[in-house]
Amino acid sequence: MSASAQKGIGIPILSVNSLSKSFNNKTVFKDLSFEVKQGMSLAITGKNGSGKSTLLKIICGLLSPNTGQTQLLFSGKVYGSNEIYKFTGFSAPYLNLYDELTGYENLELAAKLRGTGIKNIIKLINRFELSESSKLLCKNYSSGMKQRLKLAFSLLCDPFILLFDEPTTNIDESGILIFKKIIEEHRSKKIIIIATNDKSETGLCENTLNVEEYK
Amino acid sequence: MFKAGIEILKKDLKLELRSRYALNSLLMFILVLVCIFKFALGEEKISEQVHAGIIWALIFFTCTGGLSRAFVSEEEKGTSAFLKLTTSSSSVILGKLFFNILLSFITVSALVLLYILLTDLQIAVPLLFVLILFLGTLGLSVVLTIISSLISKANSKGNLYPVLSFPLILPLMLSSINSTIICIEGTTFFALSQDIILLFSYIIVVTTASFMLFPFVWQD
Repeated sequence: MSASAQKGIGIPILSVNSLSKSFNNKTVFKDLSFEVKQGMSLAITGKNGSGKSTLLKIICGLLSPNTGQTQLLFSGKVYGSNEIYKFTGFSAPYLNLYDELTGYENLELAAKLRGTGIKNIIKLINRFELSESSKLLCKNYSSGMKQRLKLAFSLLCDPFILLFDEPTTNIDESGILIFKKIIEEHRSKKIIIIATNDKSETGLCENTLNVEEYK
Repeated sequence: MFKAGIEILKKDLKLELRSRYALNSLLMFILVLVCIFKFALGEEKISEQVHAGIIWALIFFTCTGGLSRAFVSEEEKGTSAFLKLTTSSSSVILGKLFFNILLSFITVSALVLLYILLTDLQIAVPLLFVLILFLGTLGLSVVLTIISSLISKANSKGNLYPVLSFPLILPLMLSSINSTIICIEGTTFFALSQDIILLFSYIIVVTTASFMLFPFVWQD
């Protein structure tokens, strides 16, 4: 356990320590470190291709860093990058759901794979105003409906860490309001990280990190 | 892990039943292959060795045609992140193994039945023949599943699949072909015991290696 993690026993902390990532010898970012505690929200900003999505992928375990590590201190235990996904809800434009499954079936599959109950599914479907389309195959969804379903997917298992990559892409006004309300509800209880350049989304977070500063 | 593996199997079955991509193309492939062999052979009497070789060549090509989809389709459709975010790597490989084993048993059963019907092949010990087919197909499914996960991230998937699988399946194929010849000619269980032990050991070793290797393959 790192020294910084030991200090925070009792308060869940997500620590990102000295992360570096490069693709084909091109450095995306290097020596990037930060901590986010329960009740904190962080907006990750930076121009296109600066590594916002890469950083989110590393945090939730979809991608490995070249150096450094991410860890979560939760209930006095330290979880490494290969376990953080169990505590994470993630939504991104490049996260694809199964086109040949219905909206409901996609959420049901995610809940069953995570080993949590399916009681939240209907609640989330109603919340994101997808009740009429939940029995349609996802391949028949519009991009906005898919994005709403992805947001529902990220909240499905009541995760402790919420990671959103450009969360309101393709969503209409009412969808944006739903998203903002959800962020307000979870802000004090969870860790929220949003990768975006949209000012209305960065405004939802208390802290900002510009990945371009870690080139 | 087991429950999540079953959920992945159910998901893959549902997707397959809705798209019928693999099953339809495999059954068509089997029909074409067996008919070509039948027309080529005509009424000519062929030896047990040739029958065994043809049967296992057909099984190999059928399985390589169908089982590669397990991971390739997840990568192509961009849904592997869905699985990575919801379950462990061991559940994923278990679920994919279940699906590939089921798919290969269905296609191999259809293939062998069609081959026997069209060529009027007489098998002296049918029960042992079925056992050898079962073990051989099981071993082939396990090897091809882990290779499918390896090639899913490569650019030239089609070329890599048979190239990577050939050296790995060689001991399995040699033992399966040898046992099939003996089953067609007629034998006892004890005469085949060495081959059966070899097939069992092969399956156990390859399955264990798959579960150890897969987490590294699954992580980008």
